[in-house]
Amino acid sequence: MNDYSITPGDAITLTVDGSPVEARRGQTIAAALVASGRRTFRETRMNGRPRGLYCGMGVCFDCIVKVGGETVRSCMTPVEDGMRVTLPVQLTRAGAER
Amino acid sequence: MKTDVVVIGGGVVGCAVAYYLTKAGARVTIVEQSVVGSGASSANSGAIAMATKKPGLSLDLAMASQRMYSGLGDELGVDLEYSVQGNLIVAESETEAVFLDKLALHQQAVGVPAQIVDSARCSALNPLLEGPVFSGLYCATDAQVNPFRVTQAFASAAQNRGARVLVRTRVEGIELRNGRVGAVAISNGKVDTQWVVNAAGAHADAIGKLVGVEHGVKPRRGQIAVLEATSQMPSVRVAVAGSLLAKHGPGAGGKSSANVALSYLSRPLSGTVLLGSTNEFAGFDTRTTAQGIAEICAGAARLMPRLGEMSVVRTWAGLRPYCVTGPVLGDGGGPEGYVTAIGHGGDGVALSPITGVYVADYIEREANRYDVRTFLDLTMREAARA
Amino acid sequence: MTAVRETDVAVIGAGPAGLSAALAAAQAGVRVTVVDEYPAPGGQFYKQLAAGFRVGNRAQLPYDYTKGDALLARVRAAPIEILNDALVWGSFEPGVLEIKHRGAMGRLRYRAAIVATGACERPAVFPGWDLPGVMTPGGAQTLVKTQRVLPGKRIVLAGSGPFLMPVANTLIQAGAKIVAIYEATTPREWVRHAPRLWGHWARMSEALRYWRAIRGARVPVRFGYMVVRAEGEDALERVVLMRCDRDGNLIPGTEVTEPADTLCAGYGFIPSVQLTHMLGCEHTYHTARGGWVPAHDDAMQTSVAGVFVAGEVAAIGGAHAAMAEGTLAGLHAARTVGRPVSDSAVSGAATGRAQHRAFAELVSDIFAVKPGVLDCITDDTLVCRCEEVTAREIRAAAIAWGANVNFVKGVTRCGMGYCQGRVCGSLLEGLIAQALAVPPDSVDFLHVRAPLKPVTVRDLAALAERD
Repeated sequence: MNDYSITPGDAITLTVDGSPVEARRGQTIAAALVASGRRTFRETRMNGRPRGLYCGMGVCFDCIVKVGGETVRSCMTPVEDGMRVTLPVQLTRAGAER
Repeated sequence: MKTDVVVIGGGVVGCAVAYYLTKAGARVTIVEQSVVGSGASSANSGAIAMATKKPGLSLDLAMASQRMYSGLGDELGVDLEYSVQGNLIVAESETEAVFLDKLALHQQAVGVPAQIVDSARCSALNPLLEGPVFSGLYCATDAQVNPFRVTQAFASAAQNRGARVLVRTRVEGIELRNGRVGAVAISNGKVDTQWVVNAAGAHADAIGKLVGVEHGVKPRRGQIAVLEATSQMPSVRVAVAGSLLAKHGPGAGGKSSANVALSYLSRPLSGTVLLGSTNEFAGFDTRTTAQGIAEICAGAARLMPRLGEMSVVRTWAGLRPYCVTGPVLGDGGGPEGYVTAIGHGGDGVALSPITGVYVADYIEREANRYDVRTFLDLTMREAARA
Repeated sequence: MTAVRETDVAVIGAGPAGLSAALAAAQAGVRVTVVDEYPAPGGQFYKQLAAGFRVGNRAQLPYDYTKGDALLARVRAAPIEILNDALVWGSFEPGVLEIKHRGAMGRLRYRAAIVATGACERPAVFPGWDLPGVMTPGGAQTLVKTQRVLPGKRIVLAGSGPFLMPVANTLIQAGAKIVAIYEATTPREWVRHAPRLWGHWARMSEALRYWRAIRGARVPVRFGYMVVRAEGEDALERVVLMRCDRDGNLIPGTEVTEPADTLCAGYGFIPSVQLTHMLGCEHTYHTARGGWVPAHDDAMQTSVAGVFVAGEVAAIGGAHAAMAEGTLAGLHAARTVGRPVSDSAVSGAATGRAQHRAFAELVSDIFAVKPGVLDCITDDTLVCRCEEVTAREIRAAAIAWGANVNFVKGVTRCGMGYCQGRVCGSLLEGLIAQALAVPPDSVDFLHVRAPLKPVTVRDLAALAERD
């Protein structure tokens, strides 16, 4: 990529499902995930199908992840050093995680 | 246009009435001012609850209706998502605990398997319960159902047996001939008929007016907040004794600040969580209010702090057709041929089967009609014999 | 405790329409507060690099980044309050907006409001559109432009509409590999509109600039194709397209398969009218404007007194139309709150608007969504991504129950998820209309309820402590 004199923010680290992921200050969680090679962000709750980034502008909610216990749109949420992200998984009919 | 029975109102009660009438061989026309199920039928939590009822006709109707639910899905050929999830009413104070003790005794006396459980058992039943809980009333047999499917299933089944559904059609008048119902004037014509069933839900009084009867049904708004689906919430419904106390307890019916507050939390099979519900008189306004949803969420967060971080995806409100005397079935006054299926309050979905069979029976019999109490007793006796 | 702010004119949306409206109103001496969900102003058209990036020399940045600089600079220099990271989640009484601003719940009281909430993309729908790797063109553009991350290694752009060009341009400048661009319409179909192009030289030269960048990068462009399938085990591996005719009917025997890990597909834009519904505005249906849009007069005022609209929310039309409308709405809003505004300023803005609207309508006609796109939605295709509802369920519910999106939603759950029908709403409308052969504006509109986007139980509980 031609850098056009653009330099990214400082390097920081998050954990995603317990594993460390390198990111840059100012990146969204979604960008950090894609940059780290991960394009599947979660499983759908009913059918367990893989989902990733779709609209990228905070409308579709396909990119949701959990930060702490809260559901956030990863494309709208900036990373923070030490942030702990968990990725949603399929739920059974009774509501338990599969 | 000619028909045997015009059912005014295409909600769950009107559709149930239409279904059981077609089962008895009647030609039925449903007249619905908007679309099928557009009123309270699509704005409720699908509760089939005995534990929250004071013994009396309402509870007896509810028990008889619940018995019908277990086979209803098969009969209608639709998975109604009927599921026995249990109901736990929690007391957050000594006064409420005493109230629940009394309620449980009364319910047990009429055959509701209500148990008083301690605070530890409450937490075992629903581990999210972390707020102060004195005790609980637990009824393992309470259930819930998908209200959209119930309405759809009754309407479909009625249509398959020849019922006609006129949507976006208003009733303009009810004509009498020789002192008896003779026709219903609708927005684009007239339907000749000898029978009219008022199943107009929150709009029951507007129909009653057409035949000079004041039914006293008032829309009572209930607001609900829908939370995202979660793995954390077990399926047992949790109700708040405080709101029951306001409804049934001493001094009930007076103005209470508890009418804008959390009264229950439930988890439909979709996996989402419903937080409900206020009890306010706000005319026909189905909008939610900042105060209503704030109180509901504050109550939920107090009882189950871990719900605090969950997302509220949507809020909506339904208008319960509230009648201070409870449901008015069959004879609600008015001319010969005018039959009522109104005043179900928040129990329309739960009571729709029993309402349907009762009203169909009422219309089928030319003479020796049963009042609701007699009908219920006979039904119970027949069920016991079978 | 929740904060209550007061302002004269509230502008919702900090894209070109909202910023232009804010400027016009501020210049007329009005107290203006702009509220925007994103972390920095610019909206979609003028998205900026995310905070955290450092730019050594702004002069080295491509035009893509700097085209909004003039407007943004004027806004910074003006006495305009901008609340970023601020979500308007509801409005329960006239003149009051409920806001969640950087985690805190608050309210904004206004005397007039200008809704400039923009639009979202009209999805291209086909089996496999839910696979990771399939996204909207805007989704790819945002990722690349604001985050400097490429969405994938082999990218196909498809669908229809002029937006594919600036997206391609952004991707090319970032060094992405675009395998091909597939546009559903053809130059032959455009020809009959050619006379209407007269006079719109600036817009056409913009288009030419993008075209040159695409050709310069040797990206193949193929006309008259629609995506029929996205294939892959758990992520995109192949895109299957077919030739289509003028109406979008697929031509048998013309299947083309492109190996790709990224597909950016869309069919233009849909106005984001959730807030205007919540505020009680009446809406009308105009295909050329994007579907359901708020009804408004020449002053950009809706059916609700004191509520104005501007930009893509009122009609899809591009940044220049948005800025002209924003200016017009800002001037009229200023008048509404009692500030003097010259007739010449108003007529100047109105004239600018008329000219840009004329070009916008032309573009809409050229790239009108072909009816055939609905046929790419097979029965097994997901329609509601949030609740995983298939087209089969929706078609069956429509046939059984009639032409009402709210009833079909009730029995299928389509539209009940997090996005509250923003992605599937137009699909629901189109599928029901097609199944029952009725016009798409006759099937009702999905009811809009608070919160417009999710807030937490704790957030709402905090409101109980006020009043």
